[in-house]
Amino acid sequence: MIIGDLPQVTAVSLMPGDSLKGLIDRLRRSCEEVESGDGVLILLDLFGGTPANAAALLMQQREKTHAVTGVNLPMLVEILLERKTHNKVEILAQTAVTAGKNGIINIAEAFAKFREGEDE
Amino acid sequence: MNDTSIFSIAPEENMSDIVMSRIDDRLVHGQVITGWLGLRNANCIWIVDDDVASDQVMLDIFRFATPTGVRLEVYTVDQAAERLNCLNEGNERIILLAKRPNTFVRLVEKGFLPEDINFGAVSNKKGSKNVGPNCALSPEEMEDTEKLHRLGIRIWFQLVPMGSHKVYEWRNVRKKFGYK
Repeated sequence: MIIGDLPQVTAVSLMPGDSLKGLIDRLRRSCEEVESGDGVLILLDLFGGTPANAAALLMQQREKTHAVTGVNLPMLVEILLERKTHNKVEILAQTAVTAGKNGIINIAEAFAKFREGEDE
Repeated sequence: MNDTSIFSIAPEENMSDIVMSRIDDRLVHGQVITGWLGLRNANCIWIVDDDVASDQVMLDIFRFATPTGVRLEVYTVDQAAERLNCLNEGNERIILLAKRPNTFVRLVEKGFLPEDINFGAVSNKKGSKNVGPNCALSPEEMEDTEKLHRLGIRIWFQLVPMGSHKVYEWRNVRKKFGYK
């Protein structure tokens, strides 16, 4: 809807009945699937959750594998655009963190600040 | 304030306590850290598992996943039993996690008798049946669960404390799995 087609992107879900080991295996297969040699960035929900634990483990075994928690739409949009411009997965991971944080805004606070600025 | 209250409360308040015993084969993960940890006001997690205790990589992963301010200890069954028999001072409120009911059977044999054990996420395996939400037990695991039940330990199934999830009790569902 915003970005268009998404080559080399796949989703991995933690399903009821999954074990940590089962999830690591599926995550590994999905990484192989999207990998073209430049590395893989794994986007995760909760730090400390099973998916993040699985990613942390996989990173010990796989080269050029990075992972960022707290995934949100601003993060997704930014990196899906940025990855077209270079092939450095570690830089992409940094962008994800920055975009993710910048995308979180308390509207009431931001609007009040905006109004103050208008008055000056 | 009278004298007796000072003397009777002071030592108790220092004591460490097991605030939850839980079976969960994903051990430290979202349901535990965002759910039970806060609800039980716990400041310490014990993983009791012979394999994890000797697996440096898994140990690092779980240490890494544990929130700041919460202590993680990983023990073998023997080490945990020893610690449980002399819970020292230090105001620790401990959530005890094990992957399988058998771990608790072994702990009970060594003198630990919890009032209740919560069953959380237990993954599917060959021959397992869904006993509670997201909790699949093999015939051996069911036997161990029944053993714990017969010792008077309340066995209950619940993944997370939030929401209106129905709590399943082993004493209510055990008949379905052939226990009379």
